[in-house]
Amino acid sequence: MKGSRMINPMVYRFLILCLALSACGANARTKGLQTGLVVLNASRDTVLQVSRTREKQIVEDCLAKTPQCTKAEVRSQVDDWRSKVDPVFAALDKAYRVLSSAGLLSDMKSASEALAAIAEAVKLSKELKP
Amino acid sequence: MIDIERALAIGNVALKAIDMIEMAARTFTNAMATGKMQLSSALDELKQMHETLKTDRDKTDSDIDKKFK
Repeated sequence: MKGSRMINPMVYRFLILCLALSACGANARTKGLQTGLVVLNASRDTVLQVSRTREKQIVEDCLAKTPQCTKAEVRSQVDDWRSKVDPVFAALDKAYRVLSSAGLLSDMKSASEALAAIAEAVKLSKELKP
Repeated sequence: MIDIERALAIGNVALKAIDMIEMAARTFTNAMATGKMQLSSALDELKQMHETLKTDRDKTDSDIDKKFK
């Protein structure tokens, strides 16, 4: 016999190393995605707050500063603002969807795509001028 | 003849290896489960964004209708 049918201990070590490395890789990837989610949530909350404040300001300014301000004028100003902020919400929407897809997969490509989409959404959020 | 001591030693090494494989597999499974949780969290947050945005815009539209008749 002489242990000829036993698996070589070196093979066990290699197998354990592979499993441990894949576990560490998966963990780092997951942590990266979780951090991305936190950053994305913070951006979303900021953009929502900015949008809410700006719309309120448009309505109040129209009433206070120009008493002759018409409903059509205020409507037009609000629509202008929404056309400015909508691409930011679209980028946030895309980032959430790509992030959720990356959560289903386990490859690095999907994770880097998710992080790129998050970076784009954060960039647009920062560029938004009320 | 079977060498009992050698057989026991090999068995011991095999058991330890199985323990280590099981531990690594459990860590891997936990990491995967956390990754799956990411999916539902991201979709929940997205849903919340659209709901809040709709509520805010409805309020603005309602204010415009009330204040500008």
